[in-house]
Amino acid sequence: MNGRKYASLGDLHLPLLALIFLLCLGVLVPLFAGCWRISRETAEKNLAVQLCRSAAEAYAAAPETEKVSRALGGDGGGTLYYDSRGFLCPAEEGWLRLTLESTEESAARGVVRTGHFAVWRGESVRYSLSVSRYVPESERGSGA
Amino acid sequence: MKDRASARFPGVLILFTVTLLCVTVLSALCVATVKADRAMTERYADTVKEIYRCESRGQRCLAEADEAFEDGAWNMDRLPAWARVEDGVLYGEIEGDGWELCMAVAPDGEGGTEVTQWTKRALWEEDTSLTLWQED
Amino acid sequence: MIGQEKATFPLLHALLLIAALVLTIFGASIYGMVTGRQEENYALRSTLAYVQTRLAAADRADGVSVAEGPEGCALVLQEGESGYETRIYLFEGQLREELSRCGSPYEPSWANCLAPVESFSVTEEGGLLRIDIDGRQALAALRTEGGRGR
Repeated sequence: MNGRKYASLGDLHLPLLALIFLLCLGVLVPLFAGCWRISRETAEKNLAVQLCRSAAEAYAAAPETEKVSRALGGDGGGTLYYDSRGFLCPAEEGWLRLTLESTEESAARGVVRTGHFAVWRGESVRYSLSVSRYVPESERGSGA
Repeated sequence: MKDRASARFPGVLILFTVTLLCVTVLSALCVATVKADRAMTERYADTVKEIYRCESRGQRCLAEADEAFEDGAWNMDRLPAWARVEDGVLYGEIEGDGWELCMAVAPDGEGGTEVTQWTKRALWEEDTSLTLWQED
Repeated sequence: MIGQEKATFPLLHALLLIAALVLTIFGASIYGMVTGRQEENYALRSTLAYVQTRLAAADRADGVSVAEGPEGCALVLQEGESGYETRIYLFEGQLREELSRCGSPYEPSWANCLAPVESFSVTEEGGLLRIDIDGRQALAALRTEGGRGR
């Protein structure tokens, strides 16, 4: 007649389950989002390493950024754009951009040229690589 | 009503628990996969950087070697610290962080020099060696 | 009142279960994406990067050449003075690596499968090798040039 004064577990199970679910949601959704973000950054870095490595190899063959750019399929400029799968694309469709720079230091009988390559995603560098080549005086005249 | 609720309660609880367990296991698998992938990529990235650091160091050593070559012969006073000359050929063993480079530079008979040996080896954690570039 | 309870109670349970299922599906799709990316990263390293590294290791006078393989071109890497050579080529949808005696016929069934690929080509342009695997390209410079090397 008076009924129970206190609620039983049977009455509270739904709010309890809802609370547990909300707690799980609060932990797992950010965790999944973080995994997705790190996975994307890792894929970009993997691609960036490959692009920089190819640029370094082209520089080893001919230490001039214009030749490197052309070897990579560009127009000779210092910046190339790639889509998310690593294929060359126009600037407006670019997901990653590869920048090519070269510096020169004098040596006693030639110069040491250093190529600096970096892959950018927005304003952050995903990967960078530098490689030096010694160009003796005898080779400089031949355009090496 | 309460009886029916009580009857459904264990069933709902079991289903709910199983579902949350599944998603928790999925999240653990996700984290493990991402960690492994990132570790592999980081190692690959570091290895490539070291390969070209080694190469760049070797190229600078070549410039130093050329500095010591004057009038068709090696100037022993200008020989770099890492070099020695035997039978007219300059030899050098340069060590870096986990790699070594062996080079030999000889006069080319035309007043300049040429590389006759250029062997780079990277010594990995497992203590194996991989020849990165070699010319006989 | 009792009627409303009859309708609301199971409905709330169902909503909670559906929400839990949606979370599971969300997690499964994220996991699928993550493993897919891991496989792509591995494929890139085990194909283009691997061929670049093998080229670098074999780079010596007359150490690297491009020949005709069973399905297109093959990269041939001499194994020093051993009389053996490593051939990398495409066969039946797999990039394969075969170690055989120099000049012997190709034996794809003995070759080690590196990765599933649809196309593979290698071209040389003045000491620079262009490796093309499934439309993706990588470059590798031959440091040895006619024995002079640098």
